[in-house]
Amino acid sequence: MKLLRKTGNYYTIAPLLLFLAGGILFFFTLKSYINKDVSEKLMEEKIALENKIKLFDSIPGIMLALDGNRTIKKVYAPDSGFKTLMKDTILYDELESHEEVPARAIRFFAKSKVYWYQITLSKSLVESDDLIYAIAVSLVVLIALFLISIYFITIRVSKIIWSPFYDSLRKIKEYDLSRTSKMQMIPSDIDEFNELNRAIETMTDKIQTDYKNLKEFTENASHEIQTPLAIIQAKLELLMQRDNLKERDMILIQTISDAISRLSKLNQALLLLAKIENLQYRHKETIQLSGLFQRQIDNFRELIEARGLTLLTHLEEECALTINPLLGDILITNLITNAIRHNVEQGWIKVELSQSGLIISNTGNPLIREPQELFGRFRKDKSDSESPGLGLAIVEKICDTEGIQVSYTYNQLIHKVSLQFNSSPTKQGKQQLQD
Amino acid sequence: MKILIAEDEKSLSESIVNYLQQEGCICETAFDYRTASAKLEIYAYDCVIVDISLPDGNGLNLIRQIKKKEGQTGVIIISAKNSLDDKVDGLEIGADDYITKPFHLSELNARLKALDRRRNFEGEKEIKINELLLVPDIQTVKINNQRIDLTKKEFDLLLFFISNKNRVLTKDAIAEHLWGDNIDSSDSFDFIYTHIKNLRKKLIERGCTDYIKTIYGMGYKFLIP
Repeated sequence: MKLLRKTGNYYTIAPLLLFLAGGILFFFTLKSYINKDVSEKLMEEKIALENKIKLFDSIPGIMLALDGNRTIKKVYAPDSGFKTLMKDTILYDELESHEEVPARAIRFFAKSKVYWYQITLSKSLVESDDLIYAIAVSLVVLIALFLISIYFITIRVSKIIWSPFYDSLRKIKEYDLSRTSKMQMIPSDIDEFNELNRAIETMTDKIQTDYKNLKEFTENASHEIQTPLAIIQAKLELLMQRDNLKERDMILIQTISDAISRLSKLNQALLLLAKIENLQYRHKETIQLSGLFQRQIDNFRELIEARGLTLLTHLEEECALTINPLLGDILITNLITNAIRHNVEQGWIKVELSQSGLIISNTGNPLIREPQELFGRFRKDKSDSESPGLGLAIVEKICDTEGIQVSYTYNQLIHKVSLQFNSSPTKQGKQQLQD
Repeated sequence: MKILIAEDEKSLSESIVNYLQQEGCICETAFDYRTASAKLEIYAYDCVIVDISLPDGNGLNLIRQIKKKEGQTGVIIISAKNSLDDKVDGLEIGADDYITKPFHLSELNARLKALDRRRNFEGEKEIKINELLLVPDIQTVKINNQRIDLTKKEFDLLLFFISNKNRVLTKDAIAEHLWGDNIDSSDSFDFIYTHIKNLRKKLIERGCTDYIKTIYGMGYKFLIP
């Protein structure tokens, strides 16, 4: 549930319950007071009547006249005593509503000079009930209005008070480790929020520094590894030139040479990935992709033919893309070599290039993994393959940096890599791939 | 050829010297900027191999120094891989070619030979080995003065062999020479095998001696007895 709603709810429900309890209490108190009022009036009437009757020998006829509110009966000495009784009863209202109405009655015994009389006096409770009803309704309406306003005011005020918090929340959500901008929080006059902001800023600064160090370390490590590799490779090559090598020596040298070659390529790929991460390829130019593609295809044409592969190309003339030239080159080369490498005998490669994107599809072996997984580093479909499995990782990294959306789909022995140019910012593309 | 090698990594420098000396080059070394600069002042070289990342100075300045002098000294830069700036800057200042670390010595050798051909303006740029005649500029090969048809890659392959004659060339080195280093030797394994076979066939058909020898377990050699 949202913060403001919850706050609003609490601030409304608590008073609501209080008002409910209080209201009930109030209602009964009021009712009892009003009815007490009626009782008192009845008592006063009783006393007045008693005093009047005392003056007479017997009650004059006019007083005996039937009156809805008053009945007088001559009685003999009552056997059950002279008790006065007050009770609620029902009265027939002749005068106004011509209905039965609730009433309060008092029955007592009074003596004239000579005789005893039983007298019952009643009073309608309708008016007092009406009064109570009116009071109750107004009160309910008042309280309802009050609570509703409280609810909205609470939400409104909370919104204003919590706004620095929401701002911080938004900034945290938008935080991207790969962008190096610092976190700028809005200062607030609420201590706790300032504390929160301070903590967030410190934490993100540290994360940035650690991350930067890690990236630099990766790059430096790879860089340092290059030199020993170069030396090994060079010495091996010299070793190969010797005349007096036996066959088994030659095989050993070849194996070492192959391993070094793999190591070297692996290192190069990692170094490239690290450098791209470190934003070392920010320089961009607008280049014609069709030209670039054509050059690479010509470069690999003989290799493609040697494998018995058919190449189908559909390259639009006008395909300008603003991209770092080196990365563009690597991107295209990787895609092509991938399509060649993972193809089957007598298969085909299809390239469709247009202003909006590039689709390169090829025949290949059945895919065991999920296509998107192949973008991960060191992911290969066949784990015994010699390539380190970084080709597609590099493709993904380059696309990510250059704002190109890339996806890999596989359907019935046909592999397809689709690139979309001029798409929305890289973060979305990255999200898609990682989901 | 007289060559200066400005490379701070001694083992690497040694290896280059070793290889090139066997090609008949006279090699001098400099392990830092100061030494290189001093030597350049005093002596003249046919070609200078410069490592861009020298410790005590910028390799680019060495190139500038070389270009200021008179004469046609060729310059090859050794740079880090995938570093566009180095390449671009170097070439802009006047370097003739670049090679990225780590490299095959045979590749460096081939580049040097190509550079040498470009520099020599006297006479035609032709390579003659017995009955074979190559004219790199127009990608023509003649056997006993008769043209034969080779594809671009086949020509590159033959030229690479000849530049590194009597040297063992690994399949890796060949693959990288033909397609750059984005390709795994495993990718091009069959291709190289097939095309060397085809190339041999084409040459032999036209009466050329079979110079290309397979070196068991390691690679190939263009053997001129």
